[in-house]
Amino acid sequence: MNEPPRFSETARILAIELAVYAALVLLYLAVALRALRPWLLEAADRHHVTYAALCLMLMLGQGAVLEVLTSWLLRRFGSGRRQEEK
Amino acid sequence: MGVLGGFFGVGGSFLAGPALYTLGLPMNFVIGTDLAHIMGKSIVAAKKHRALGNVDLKLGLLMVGGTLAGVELGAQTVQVLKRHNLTDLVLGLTFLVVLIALSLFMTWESLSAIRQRKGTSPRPIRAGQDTRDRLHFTAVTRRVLALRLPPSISLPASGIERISLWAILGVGLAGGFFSGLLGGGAGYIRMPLLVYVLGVPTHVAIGTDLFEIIISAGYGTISHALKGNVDILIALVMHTGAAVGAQIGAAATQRFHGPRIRLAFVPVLLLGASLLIYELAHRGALKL
Repeated sequence: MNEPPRFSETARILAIELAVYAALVLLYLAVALRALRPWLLEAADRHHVTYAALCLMLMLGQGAVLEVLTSWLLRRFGSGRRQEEK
Repeated sequence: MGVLGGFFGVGGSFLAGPALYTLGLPMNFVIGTDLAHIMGKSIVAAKKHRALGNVDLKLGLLMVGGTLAGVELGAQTVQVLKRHNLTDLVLGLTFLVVLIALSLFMTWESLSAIRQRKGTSPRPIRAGQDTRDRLHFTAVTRRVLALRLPPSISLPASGIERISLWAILGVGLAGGFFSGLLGGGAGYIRMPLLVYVLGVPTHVAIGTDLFEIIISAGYGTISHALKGNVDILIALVMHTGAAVGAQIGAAATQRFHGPRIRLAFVPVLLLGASLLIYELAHRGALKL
């Protein structure tokens, strides 16, 4: 079992993650969701198969992008790299 | 939700569902939207667990057949209950019994395993088993591992030399059945089944369960989106928060040994049971 990281280290990661969360939510509200909304509503009303495919692709895409982004941030700020190296 | 998902390998539908319902989302949208968000969150957490060596891909892929068949079986059972107008009461009580039984069993088992670790350790169920991830309850695991029903396969990532494929499909079927019956990813039942029935180490059970949730929740998302039950914008916003939490939760599992993770899972099950009792009482399904 790996040596557990210190509390201050964990708290620092949490603070970084929360900052990322806030930035992402603001970004979505301001840009992405506003731009996507009309297209998605149109698809949800009239093209159910397209909408289902879009739902799947959007969640998969966002999942992949956020995983890369948050992993990079954790490595960038130190502790994530330490854990994955072990 | 993200932290809980990453730490325990569950989708968290039994907590997110009532929360969305309380916020005013219609029940059909609650189920579909929650599934979409669970799938996205599980991608992040499973990838993190994969980096930490906690995902048995072979086991996850073998379970898929059983999982999808189970989802369909569960969904068909819901249709039968709907015809008899018993959906709320039967599903609610089933869920409640499962959550309470699991929490009682896991409390007893994990506390016993923690006590044993401090004293004399039991015989390991797998060669090279991590002594810090011992199980107290091994009767079922030993019988399943001794089952000689072909075809048998090996699962090196889980430290299992030989196991019947039917046992793996059975666990997939049970998890899928509860997913189809009660909604969500059913990680609350699949993770304990992987540990107590197949003998998979707790950390690997969490990672593999998350991988399985991606598939079952992905299937559910498509199915519900085709029926117009998914608000993808809400799911995307929820996912931005859950994704960072999932990373934290997955990383935090490295701080704890198996029995402590299993013990920490109990309050989550009890919280789910409490919310369910409240919801059932609120809808008048229970005469409280």
